[in-house]
Amino acid sequence: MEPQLVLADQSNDEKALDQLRDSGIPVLVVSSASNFDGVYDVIGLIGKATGTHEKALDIITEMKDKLIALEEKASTIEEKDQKSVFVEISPSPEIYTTGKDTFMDELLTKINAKNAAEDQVGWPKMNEEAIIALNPDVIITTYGSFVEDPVAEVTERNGWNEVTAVKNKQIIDVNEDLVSRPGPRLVEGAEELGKAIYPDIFAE
Amino acid sequence: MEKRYIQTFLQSKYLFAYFLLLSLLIGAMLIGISIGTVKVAVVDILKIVYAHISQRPLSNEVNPMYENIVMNIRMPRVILSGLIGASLAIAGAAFQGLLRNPLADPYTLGVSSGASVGAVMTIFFSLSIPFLGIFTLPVVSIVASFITIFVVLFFAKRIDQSMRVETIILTGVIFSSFLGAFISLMIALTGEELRQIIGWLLGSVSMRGWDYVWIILPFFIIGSVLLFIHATELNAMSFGEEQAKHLGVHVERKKMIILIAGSILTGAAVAVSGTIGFVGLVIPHFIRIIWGQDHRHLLPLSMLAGAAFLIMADLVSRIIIAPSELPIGVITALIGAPIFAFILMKQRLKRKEII
Repeated sequence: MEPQLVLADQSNDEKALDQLRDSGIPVLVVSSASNFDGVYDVIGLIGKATGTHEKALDIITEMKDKLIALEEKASTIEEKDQKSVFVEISPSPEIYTTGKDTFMDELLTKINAKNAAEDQVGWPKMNEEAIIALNPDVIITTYGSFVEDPVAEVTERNGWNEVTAVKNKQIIDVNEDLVSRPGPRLVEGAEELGKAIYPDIFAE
Repeated sequence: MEKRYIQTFLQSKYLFAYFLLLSLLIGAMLIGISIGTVKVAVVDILKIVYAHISQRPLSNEVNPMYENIVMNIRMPRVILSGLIGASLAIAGAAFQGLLRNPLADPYTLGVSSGASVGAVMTIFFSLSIPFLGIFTLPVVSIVASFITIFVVLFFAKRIDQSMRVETIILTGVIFSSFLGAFISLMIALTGEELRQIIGWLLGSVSMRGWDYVWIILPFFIIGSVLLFIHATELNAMSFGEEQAKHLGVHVERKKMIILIAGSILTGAAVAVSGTIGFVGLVIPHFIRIIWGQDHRHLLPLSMLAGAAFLIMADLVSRIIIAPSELPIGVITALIGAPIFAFILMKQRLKRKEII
């Protein structure tokens, strides 16, 4: 393919990268970002490396502007109206969620929603009873791309009918790519989450 | 005189065994239902169950949330793990006796690999058969396991009319690795579904609900009744097929029935829970070491012990790193293996002392 530049992740094998370097292809190792500042850095870095720094700066500014607009809207939400949100990134019976130190958690914080699994770190698998005990106001699923009807998947679970989110039919599927890939579309992810969780506030 | 003394001694030995294991099972069930994210007192469990059986309204002292947790979440989970543990333990006991091989377990014949291929395929292709919906997976898995049984037995019969033990084991091994390759292939090609596939393969009884209990129950009843009926034949055959023939056993036909019955139990258990190892291998050995070889008692005792053991293993898997959960297959081996090693050692030492 004769690439002029190879972008690699920190997790890539160092030996493989050395082979590329030895054959004369420049390699840029990009640390995977875990928050918005990290994403800005990565976009800026790639912009510099590919000679499109101007464009990168534009993207960053646009992201920042949109995010500020979102945060302004979010700040109008009063504490008593704050909703607790449980995120499911895989369907039952293996329900995994997103705890602290994940993009999902940061996006939820940005739109002033409470991550129901904030006591956890990373992507833990959750016990069914524990989720019911958390009693979230909203359940966000991100597996709509490979599960036919994610909302029904949640509502039809035995013993879940007393969970607030299920009782009030607050189960929404969002596009997984928007909320988990560290890139410019993260802001769209935050917007989509906002619309799903606080439709009155974030609707256009 | 002496003979009668031995008989009553044996009877009381088995009576004690049944009493002990039954109490263990009931204890395990109550503890399993009681402990979790919220603790429900045993008294409340009994009240809730009584209210359901007698169709009377629940007394006001019991928190209605408990009723939901007990009846919809924990009870089906505990009963399901009990049925799976029981199925795997009886099937294992029967296969070890029939194949006269201490390493035989319910998965020896390759039935579990068949069931796994069915289940992994369902997840991999996101299959959903109309009218079955979320039950597509167990149903496809059971069908796949039955197809496997018949193909394996047909194949074994073709290469060896008398279906010698070695032939059956070898056929099982061949099919297991062949079907295992399909599973590995699907794992290699999958993307989003990887977590689900791995989770299923490691075994889990979480979030199954009553429906899964109803799915496994008929297979459990048919399989275990068939095996109980053939307990005496199993006794005869565990001395070797020639001897069994001399004792008047229709070896080939009975062998076929026992293999099918054990496979029904295994296939259904794997279909609803994934491949939970260890139970079918070790529980029967455990019972054999303590209470002897007689299959008329070995089978029911293994059933009770297997059920109690898997219920406890599931309890550990869901509380040890709460609110997260471990795969139950990991727990069965982690807890079971050291206990078994200990008993084996103690037993061997005791035997040496006698000699």
